Amino acid sequence: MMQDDPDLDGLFKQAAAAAPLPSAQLLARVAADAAREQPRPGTPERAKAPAPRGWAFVLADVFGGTGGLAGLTFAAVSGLWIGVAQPAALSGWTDYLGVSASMELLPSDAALLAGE
Amino acid sequence: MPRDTLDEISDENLLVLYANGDPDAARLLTARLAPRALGYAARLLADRAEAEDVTQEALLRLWKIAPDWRRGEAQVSTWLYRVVTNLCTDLRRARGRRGAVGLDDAPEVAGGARSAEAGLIEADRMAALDAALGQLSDRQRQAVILRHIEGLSNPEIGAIMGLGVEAVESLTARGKRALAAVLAGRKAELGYEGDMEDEA
Repeated sequence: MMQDDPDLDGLFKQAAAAAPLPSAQLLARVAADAAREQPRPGTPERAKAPAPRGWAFVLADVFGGTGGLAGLTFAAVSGLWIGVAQPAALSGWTDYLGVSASMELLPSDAALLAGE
Repeated sequence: MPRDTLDEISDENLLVLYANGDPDAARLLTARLAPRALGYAARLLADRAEAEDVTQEALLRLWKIAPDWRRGEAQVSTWLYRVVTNLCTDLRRARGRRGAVGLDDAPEVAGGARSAEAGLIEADRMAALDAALGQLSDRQRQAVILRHIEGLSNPEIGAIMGLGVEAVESLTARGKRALAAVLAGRKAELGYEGDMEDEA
């Protein structure tokens, strides 16, 4: 434990007693800040706006979260790929089963000319 | 709210009143806190104009945080001292980048016939103290001022500086020893008879 130092302690006391007082100008500046920042009585509390959200998060909520949205996207892309690309593995399997069939999504030119 | 009633209200409750629009709360809080913030900042910076700017900025931050103040988490004065500490640290670092102010840059302490018999005037001693405080590390200076000039308790200083009580005790003791060592070389100029360094 350090011994008390009467000279240093006396200096500290002088410093405490000599602490500056705020000037009128400083008090005026502080008062102006306080008035500007003070919430107004009767004013509804500032509502905290929700953080802006992207469309992906909105869709995800609709389809049960991001997992649901990912599953739905995968199923849609897979179906489109199978329909358009007709992978060899899939067509070979349907040929083997004898259930191969094709369908035209657009009517032929002859059908259009015949007015069908 | 009547002024007599406001005088008895804690700083924290005054801050809540301010946030609720009470017109007198800010004035009373300023009267309580501005002198403490200014005194502390003035000792840390040894510059009155900068200390006033720090005081205004610290109180501005208090007004802004008032609506979101979490009751019971901290004393308002402790929070304010912490803000003042941080603002002053930033200013001193900026000042250091511009060029350090050391003991040799402090106002000269009067010598010769003027001080030989009657001792130095208070302003000279305060200038010497400020210059000596400037020789301490940031943390030592903060701890010494808060403990020995602002008169705060060690737990309060610990809350301000983010330290435990033992760390505060160690910091203030080492700071006081260092301060005595710096001032010992000027004891004759300061008008002290005793040997400050030996007693420390």
